[in-house]
Amino acid sequence: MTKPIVRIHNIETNEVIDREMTDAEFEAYEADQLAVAKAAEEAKAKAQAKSALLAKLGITAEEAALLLG
Amino acid sequence: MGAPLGFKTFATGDILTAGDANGYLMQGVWVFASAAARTSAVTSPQEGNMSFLKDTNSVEYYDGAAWVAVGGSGGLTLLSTTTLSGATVTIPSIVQTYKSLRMVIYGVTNATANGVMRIAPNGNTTGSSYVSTDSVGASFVSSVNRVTYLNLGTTAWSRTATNNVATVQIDNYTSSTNYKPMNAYGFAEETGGSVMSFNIGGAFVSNTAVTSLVFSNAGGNLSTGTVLLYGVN
Repeated sequence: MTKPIVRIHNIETNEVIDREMTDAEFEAYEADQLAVAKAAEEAKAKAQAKSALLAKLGITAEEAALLLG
Repeated sequence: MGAPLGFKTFATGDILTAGDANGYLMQGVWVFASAAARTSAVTSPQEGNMSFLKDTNSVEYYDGAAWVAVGGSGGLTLLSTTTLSGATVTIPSIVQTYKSLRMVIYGVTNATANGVMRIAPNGNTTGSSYVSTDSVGASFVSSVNRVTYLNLGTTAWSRTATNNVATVQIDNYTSSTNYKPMNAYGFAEETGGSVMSFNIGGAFVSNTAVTSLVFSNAGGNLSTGTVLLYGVN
């Protein structure tokens, strides 16, 4: 399987190297992508829960903000 | 190389000696490819010598002990222009001769998915390495966040919109004893055409000098984008 490409720019020589990730880099990359996906899911679930609660209360987000202000 | 002799107005009939040539005529602004080339060519610089370095476009004078930039020690020096591409982009071996680093990042898109643009000094993503308070749009987020990257904003940048720009500064970056203050401000299009402005202040919570910068986008592979890296004195 082809791993993602990483770029390294040596600014002393202006040399640019594009290479595949090493195994360790790929492992860290996959863990990071999982964490990003998990955070996105959590944010989506939170937004849905918020919408559901507002609907249950019968108020808008602006009205809820007024109550909390 | 002869020592500078000052200024002389030659009169008709004067004899131009080797000493005159070396002391008067050779005292212009010498042009070299780099500081290394200058060191090789000028083995005994004299106070008052001037040079221009093509790699950094800098004019410097010799103060008797060292080559010093004309115009004082302050100012910005463009260190590099880097094109973003791939899952990560690393700028290694950053010189340690400035007070601060400043970056201007713009035109970022990525091939995979929407995601926030982010930076990891020294590639450090070992959790809670960055503290920040954020001002996004009109709302100020007063809580302090401890996160694994310096995130440029709080929500995903549109992966296809090129209308984004961020300025990031890291102060005291050479310190091996103190944390590094950081701030970032900018603008990005989000998904669905909405836009986000951000203003983030915080610190890189590390006692290690910043010698490299790693750029990535939480959405995946970078397609386009430019990073201008400046050294600040």
